Amino acid sequence: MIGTMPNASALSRRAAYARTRLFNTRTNTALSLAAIVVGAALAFLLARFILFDANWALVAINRKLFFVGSYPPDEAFRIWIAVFLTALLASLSYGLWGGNLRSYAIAVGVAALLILTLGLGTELRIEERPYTEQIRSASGETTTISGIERELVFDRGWAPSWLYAISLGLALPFGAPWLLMAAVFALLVAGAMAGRRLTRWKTNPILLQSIGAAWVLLIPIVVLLQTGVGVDKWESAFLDLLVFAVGGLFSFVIGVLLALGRRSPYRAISIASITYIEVVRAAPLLVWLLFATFLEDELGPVGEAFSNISLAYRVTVVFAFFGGAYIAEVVRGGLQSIPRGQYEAADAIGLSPVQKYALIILPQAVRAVVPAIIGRFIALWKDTALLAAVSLVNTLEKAKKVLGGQTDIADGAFFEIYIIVGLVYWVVSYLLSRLGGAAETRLRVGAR
Amino acid sequence: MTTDSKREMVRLEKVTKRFGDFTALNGVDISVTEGEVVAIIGPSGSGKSTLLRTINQLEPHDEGRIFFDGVELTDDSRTLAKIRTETGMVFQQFNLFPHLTVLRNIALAPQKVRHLPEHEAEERALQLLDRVGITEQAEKYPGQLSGGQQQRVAIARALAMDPKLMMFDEPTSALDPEMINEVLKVMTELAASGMTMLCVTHEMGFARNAANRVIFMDEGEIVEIGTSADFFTNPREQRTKTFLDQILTH
Ligand SMILES: Nc1ncnc2c1ncn2[C@@H]1O[C@H](COP(=O)(O)OP(=O)(O)O)[C@@H](O)[C@H]1O
Ligand SMILES: [Mg+2]
Repeated sequence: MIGTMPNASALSRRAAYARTRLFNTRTNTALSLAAIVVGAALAFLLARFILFDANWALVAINRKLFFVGSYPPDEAFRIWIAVFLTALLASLSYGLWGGNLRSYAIAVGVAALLILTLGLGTELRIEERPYTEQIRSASGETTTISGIERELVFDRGWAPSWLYAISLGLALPFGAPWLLMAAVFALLVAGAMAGRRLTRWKTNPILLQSIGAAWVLLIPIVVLLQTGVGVDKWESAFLDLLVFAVGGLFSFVIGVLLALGRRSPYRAISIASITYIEVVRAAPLLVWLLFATFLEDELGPVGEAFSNISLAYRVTVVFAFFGGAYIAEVVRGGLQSIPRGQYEAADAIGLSPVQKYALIILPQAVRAVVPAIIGRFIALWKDTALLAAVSLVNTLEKAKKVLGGQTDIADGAFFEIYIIVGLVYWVVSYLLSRLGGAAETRLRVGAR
Repeated sequence: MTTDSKREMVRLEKVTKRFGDFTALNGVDISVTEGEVVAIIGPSGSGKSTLLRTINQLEPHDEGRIFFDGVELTDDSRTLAKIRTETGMVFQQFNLFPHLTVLRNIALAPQKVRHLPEHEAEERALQLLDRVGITEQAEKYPGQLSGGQQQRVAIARALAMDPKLMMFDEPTSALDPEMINEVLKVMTELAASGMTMLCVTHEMGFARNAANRVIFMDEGEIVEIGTSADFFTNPREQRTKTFLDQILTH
């Protein structure tokens, strides 16, 4: 009862929770204490590394490489347009679908404050010092060795270096123009507020359809924007995001079609769908990626045509078809959960088979498996790590290149670099899982 | 106009339906004229639902012929579309679309099948909701309504296509007792308005008062057909008597 008292403060509610759930029996207390000790020790070690031992300057100086690789700086506007469109659409949707505006504004505000002010008064440069050294060999001769010694110098402003490096590294891919960055933050807040004002028309199909269409169009627009640069310039997190977004979108479409094909009354279609799903899932993604990479004219004109497409496009196709096979199985589960009465009611009011699936069956089936679909998307996103294996420069590969190519300053900084790589994967996975959670709550209204 | 000159809405001739080796309908003959209300009763598993479902071809029949409004039902897609759009069906389990609001449930078919403009379809949907007495629930989802309200929405949905025939498959069997009457009231009003109706029901009061004729089915066959007055007072067949004794005396 203590826990439900309306005027109990959050703190005392937590204390009550701890007493009743963590320390209620002797065994439970022992286990809780052990977990706390181990957790605290790990947290201490990690904090010590992050705050004192790590060489974050290395990350900061390479931040652009991690996000967009060797994207030509003159063409940066293409990425900025993509960032602006995404920020606008995301914030508008967030506001419209009733996300918590206050905590959102606080999060954006804090991020903006840190990122926009941290860089002030800092300087990051490589200092080169010539040096000469005399070495006396065993036989008594002296040789003079001279060279240039490099050191990464980091004059920080007011902020501790790690904070500066992480925030800036994450958010300023281009050593970003300050104004552009500020504009993105302003847009994030303004968009959410505008979305909130639109809530009144939330049931208006035109509004919903335009926003839905904008989301669907966003990906092709971003890809079209990139074609001016050439796909071989796609690298790092930017490459991963594009392959994931395009591959993921198509994998959903392919998955739904396969799931429907699997239960088609036409045996040829259902057998073809089942065969496809089983064959694709029988081999690891890496194998399919290698096929796509080395396929030349083995498959006749089809293979030849395919091999002429840029590698980045080819792996995207593999992602779409590979992801599709898994989504198909998830959607199949959703379809099985729809009772026969729904089909019969749709038939009885005269809907055509296409209308029946598009308006009645699929919306419910997909809704029923949103968490599993999000799970597949998160898996697909993390699978972009495999792109390194087919000589594409993804985030992981870029990190390795930084470690291998800047030995004078990157010596031994594995941990710092891989923490950043891990963060890139984590941030997107986290956003996806939040999106899934939100979708689940919003869609629960119409659940049976 | 006399009843005899009215047009025939449904006719079944020697209709047979099998599920594998099992014969669910065995040579059924029925004729229903426009404006007639027919109650179908019989023990569980006797083929009552199957009978209704062959008429709108949710279950295609195996033998015999079915005519609806003068047109024989074949597997031609046009006759299929005709029978589906011109009949309304109300299910025991309501089968409302849980992801759509009450209003959308009703407006969907007129809009998508009849291509009515949205505002017109929704305006008509509101009128139908008024007719079944639940206008205030228009923006709710089916899951937020009581069973009786859901079944009334289902009736409104079936009426939305202006059907020539309404079929009810045990519409009150899934309801709590206190909600049965609100649904029966709607059905009785509908019968009084001249709608042609086929109702599978266990509500003998409704069968006796609202129906013109009663059909008793057993083991896939029609055992007895009579006017509702005759049927309950003078059943001819022994099987009918036994069944009526069972349900009327509990
Ligand atoms: N789709 C089906 N497949 C196999 N058997 C069925 C199917 N539908 C109905 N039946 C069988 O046909 C018989 C009649 O069913 P039904 O028409 O639902 O009876 P009622 O509605 O009178 O209770 C039952 O024995 C039932 O098991
Ligand atoms: Mg039945």
